[in-house]
Amino acid sequence: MYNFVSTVQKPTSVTHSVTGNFTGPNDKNLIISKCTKIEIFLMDQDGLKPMFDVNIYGRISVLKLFSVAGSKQDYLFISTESFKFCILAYDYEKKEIITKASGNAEDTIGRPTEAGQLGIIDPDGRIVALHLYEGLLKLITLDNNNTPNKINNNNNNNNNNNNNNNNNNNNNINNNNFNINNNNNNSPIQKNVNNVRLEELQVLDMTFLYGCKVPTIAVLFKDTKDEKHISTYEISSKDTELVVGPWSQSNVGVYSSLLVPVPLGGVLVVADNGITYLNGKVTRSVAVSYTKFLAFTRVDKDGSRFLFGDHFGRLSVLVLIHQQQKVMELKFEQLGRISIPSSISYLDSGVVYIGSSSGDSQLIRLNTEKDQTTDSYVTYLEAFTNIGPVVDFCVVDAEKQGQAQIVTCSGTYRDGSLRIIRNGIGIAEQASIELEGIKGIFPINNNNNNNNNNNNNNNNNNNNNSNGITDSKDRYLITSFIECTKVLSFQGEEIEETEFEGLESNCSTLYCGTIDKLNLLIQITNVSINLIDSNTFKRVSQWNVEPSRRINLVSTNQDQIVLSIDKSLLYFQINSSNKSIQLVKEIELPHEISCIDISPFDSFMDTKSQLVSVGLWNDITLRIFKLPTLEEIWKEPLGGEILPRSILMISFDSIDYIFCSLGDGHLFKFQFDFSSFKLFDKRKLTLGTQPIILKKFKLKNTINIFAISDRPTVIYSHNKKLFYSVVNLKDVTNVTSFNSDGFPNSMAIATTNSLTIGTIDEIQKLHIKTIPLNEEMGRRIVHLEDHSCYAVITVKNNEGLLGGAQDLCEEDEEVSYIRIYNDQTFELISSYKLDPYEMGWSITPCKFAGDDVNTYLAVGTSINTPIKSSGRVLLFSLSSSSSSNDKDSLDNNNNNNNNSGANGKLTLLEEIKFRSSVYFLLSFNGRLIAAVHKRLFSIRYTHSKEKNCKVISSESVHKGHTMILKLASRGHFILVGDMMKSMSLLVEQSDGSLEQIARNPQPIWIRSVAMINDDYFIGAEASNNFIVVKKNNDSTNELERELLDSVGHYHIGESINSMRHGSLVRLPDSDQPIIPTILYASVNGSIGVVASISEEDFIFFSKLQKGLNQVVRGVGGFSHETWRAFSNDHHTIDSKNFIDGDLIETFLDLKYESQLKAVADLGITPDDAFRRIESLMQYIR
Amino acid sequence: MNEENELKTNTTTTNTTTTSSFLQFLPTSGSFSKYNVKKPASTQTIPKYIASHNTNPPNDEFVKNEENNILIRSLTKNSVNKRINEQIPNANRQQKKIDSNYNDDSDGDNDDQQVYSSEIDDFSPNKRSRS
Repeated sequence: MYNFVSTVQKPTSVTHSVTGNFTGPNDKNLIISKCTKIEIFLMDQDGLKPMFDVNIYGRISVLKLFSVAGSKQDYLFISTESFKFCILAYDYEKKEIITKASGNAEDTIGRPTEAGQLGIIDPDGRIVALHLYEGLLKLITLDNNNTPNKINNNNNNNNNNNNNNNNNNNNNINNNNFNINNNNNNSPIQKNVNNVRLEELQVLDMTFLYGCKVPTIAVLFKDTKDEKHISTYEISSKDTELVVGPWSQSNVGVYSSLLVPVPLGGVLVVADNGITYLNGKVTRSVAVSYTKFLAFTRVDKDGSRFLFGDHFGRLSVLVLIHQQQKVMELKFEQLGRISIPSSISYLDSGVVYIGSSSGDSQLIRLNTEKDQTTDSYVTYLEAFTNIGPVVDFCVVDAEKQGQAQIVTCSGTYRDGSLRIIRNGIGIAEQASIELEGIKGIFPINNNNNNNNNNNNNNNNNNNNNSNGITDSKDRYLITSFIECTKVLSFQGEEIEETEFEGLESNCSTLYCGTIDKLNLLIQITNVSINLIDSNTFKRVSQWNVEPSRRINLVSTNQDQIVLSIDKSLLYFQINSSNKSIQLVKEIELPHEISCIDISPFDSFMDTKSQLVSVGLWNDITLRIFKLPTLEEIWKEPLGGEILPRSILMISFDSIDYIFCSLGDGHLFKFQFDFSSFKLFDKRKLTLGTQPIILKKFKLKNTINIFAISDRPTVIYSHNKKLFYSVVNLKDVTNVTSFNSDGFPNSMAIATTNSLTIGTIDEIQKLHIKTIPLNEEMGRRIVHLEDHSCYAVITVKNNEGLLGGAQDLCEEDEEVSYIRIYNDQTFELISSYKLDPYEMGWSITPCKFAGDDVNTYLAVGTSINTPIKSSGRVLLFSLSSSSSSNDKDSLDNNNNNNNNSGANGKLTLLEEIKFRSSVYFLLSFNGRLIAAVHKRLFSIRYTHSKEKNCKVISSESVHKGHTMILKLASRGHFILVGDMMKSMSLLVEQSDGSLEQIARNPQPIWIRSVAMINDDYFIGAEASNNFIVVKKNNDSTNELERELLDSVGHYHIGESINSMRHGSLVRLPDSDQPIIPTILYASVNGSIGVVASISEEDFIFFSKLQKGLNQVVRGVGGFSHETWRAFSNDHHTIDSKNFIDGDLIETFLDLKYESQLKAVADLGITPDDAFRRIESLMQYIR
Repeated sequence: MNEENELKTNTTTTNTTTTSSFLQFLPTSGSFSKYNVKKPASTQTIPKYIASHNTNPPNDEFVKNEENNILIRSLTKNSVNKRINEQIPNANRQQKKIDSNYNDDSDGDNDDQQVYSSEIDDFSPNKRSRS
């Protein structure tokens, strides 16, 4: 079993943000860390400009920008959770990120810090201090690049270029001391990392102080009595040791958690109930209402003002009122609501970046005046989507099309939300106007005419200017309604209504377009064909239908026109010499015509078409006729009773196709052999449930199909394969290409009540929609298909109670609910409040044996009172007829059947108490399996003849685990994910008990499990790894059959809470066997796919991956092999039987020369590799 | 300059009750002065950076971790307990008035006392074994 891991949504959770001059001396950058990548933005007048998305081979634990004397640009320090670190700089001439230093700070001894890794840099850029192990401080000494100049020009001050550095007369002396050991290399770091002993074992925070002659750190630590103190240390330049610092402070308060350095000198000690300024001489405090501060930023260079964000999502300002560098007073004021921040960065002009790992990150502006309606000084400018932390998700194929959407429980505390994530082509709306009842939209290009009025004197002049056909842009949009036709004129982004004299505007228009080579407009109504001069807009010719007949359908190709009138098919040609409309041929068909297409296969209406295709009523056939004789050359019965509604001839990648859609959402696809006029390779697909209209549209020199239906779909070809991508639009009635000066490369889209101009994505991507949960956070989610709803376990924090700041009150703050949401509108249907101290832990829909009609909802909980811990399983029905706590009955069964899904009211039927938490529930072959701490219980809900009602019962069916976190089932097998003991496989016995038949013996801390197939199982491990185990069915050794061998190892680098079978893409139209895919979602907001591939593919991609590692380097000198190696506290193993799909995908973005280098050892061309990669990626994204 | 700012903010505060004097004169250097709400960064695709050049540090010199065991190094240097109480800074300041040799001796005495105090106040196993 070989697996290909690909990220379809990169991490969205922000952990760090810093500002400085990184990409250039005059550039102001915002750099954001999102777990395994950084994003670099440039600040300019217009706002933030995205510059780079940089992948990092490691989980970033420290991100700092710092300046050093003599360098015009800042350096970026990155440290990873696996103890790697690097210093990056940017070469703005080459536009490359270069590594100034790289190293490994890992020790073989020492205990990693429990509170997380700390990294700080001296504000003068002299030294980096890392607190990675308890009792140890790692010191990385930074050299000065301009040492020779400093030595030779000792009296000159070279700090003028360093705007961020505090000038200090003593800096020269200190810098010289640090530069004694310089060996004239280009690295700003000495070659060794020094360890020094730190007496404080439980360090909470530390920081370098400003304005010190030697680097000085302040350490906030906790002693063995849980009291907190501050020590300061100077770092001796002589032997890099810690020397007692200038001051200290004991007993700073048990709620202290942060140290903030102040450029004025000293520190701010941030506690939950107050902020204190200390500098060894002066102590100033301000009290704040109880909260937990999570992030801060300095606003002013001198440290007069700081912004703080807390875990309620409140932004506040702290002002240090000072005179002559002396802090006299602290002032504190709340400003407004923000996302719960993990980082805050002041940018410029009152604009602040709020980085969040709880909800969406934000760009806000601070106003000097309060908005009375919102009671806030904060204006929201932008929101950056963050779907992390994903605690749980479900995969729902709502339309049974094979393409699913993900609904996640995202966010924490008041930032909790549900996110709907689906894959498709997006439309970015540029302009929209309300227009009701649009029947047709037709773009008109007439870029040369600025005069709409009749002006005979300019006729010749306009004719002479009408040469730029190839450069023409769409200028008008003809909009057709039931009884009238209007002309919209586009000048830049301005839209206004205008008139064409020769256009019939008092009736509906079936078609309107240009014949470029003749300078004509053609308008077809249900009674006439009108030719209109493009320059004068006067009618020059007209053909009228006989008085009693009406034109039903139209298709044109420049000067070729086909009409249908009842059963008649008419072919017209525009005479180029006298601009007249000539009827070339008319034939009578056996049935009425339902759809027509005359567009040529291989282009967008700029060559002559040789065929016309039609669909017929009654006999439900597709017929093809030759032009100009209208000789029938093919008849294709479609079968069924639904008439064809649209037909289209198109060529993709030199393959000729004919598409024919029906009135019920089905689509037929044929290939066409032009030499023999034969249709073949007939296929039937389902795009929706409503009639489909097929239209060609142009997207950057490629022709695609827009299928208009209840599920708008773009059909396009790539690598000679057809793709069907859903578009994020609803209620589309018509579309057309639209390419104007103001809206280049766009589309015009009509809905029932609006006209929208928008741009369309070139590729499909994930679209994320947010459903707020009203300041609750979702913990678990399932989809109840039978009831058309989602069931969500939520937790609500009552922050009002926190005002008292009493520990006991915290127990009452969290309340857990079961919420039922409509699966289309996400309207809240019903709720159930759990008991005090009770939290929902697990949820599943379930059916019970003997009761195939009803789908119940089962919820597992944990109850943690101050006295004891326990759990419950609650069984709910969703019905409007049952009343609370009533037992189900035969009559209610009938009522449930009648009202299934009608109302969805949540009713508690039964409960079972357990002595431990119910961590997982699994609906399994007609019963419910509950994971209660270390045991599995079987729960049945059956009809009892004795009591004449349903009775719920439970029995223990398996034990022997440490703590069961997750279950998965397949057939009669259950896979158990243990918190500490990896995975084990159970099988159902005839008596209902479960017997363990195999287990993985390694001490793997499992977080999530899934069964890839009958023999291979995958687990997500607590140290952010994947492990794949295999069942040894074929072994003759009994002991071997009892083992699940580890056959795959991989470091995913993400904390994964949940894995589900499913696919985000509609499978391509192909005969190839389907590749099984598993979706996963992570705490940092990433979504990925694990696709199981063949051994042949694995060998190919392994070699390609090896080749890519020669071409694509890890930023900062980090190694891909080291990054992807399975690693936990016990051991490190090379990645095995896994392919890093993210690395493979970079091949598609490489330059050709790099691609050649990457495939050199494979003996194939880059095109071959490209094709191979795309063949796999179509199953993934 | 700071005093002038303070005076200005005080004046502003007395005039407008819904104006925050704390948000006056935020640092500005030109960015976001023409913020364009129609082109937010959040909807733009951020270009993917691919490092196709050598990303090793200069001269392929990776920074090495210190090889000596921290305990051995600490013992070799006769490191002493440096836990700080409130009294230590005062003691340091007082002793600095005397000549350097005497100052060193005094520091030593204080450190000895500190070690003794730690044994009474702190029951950390590490520190027990050290003493």
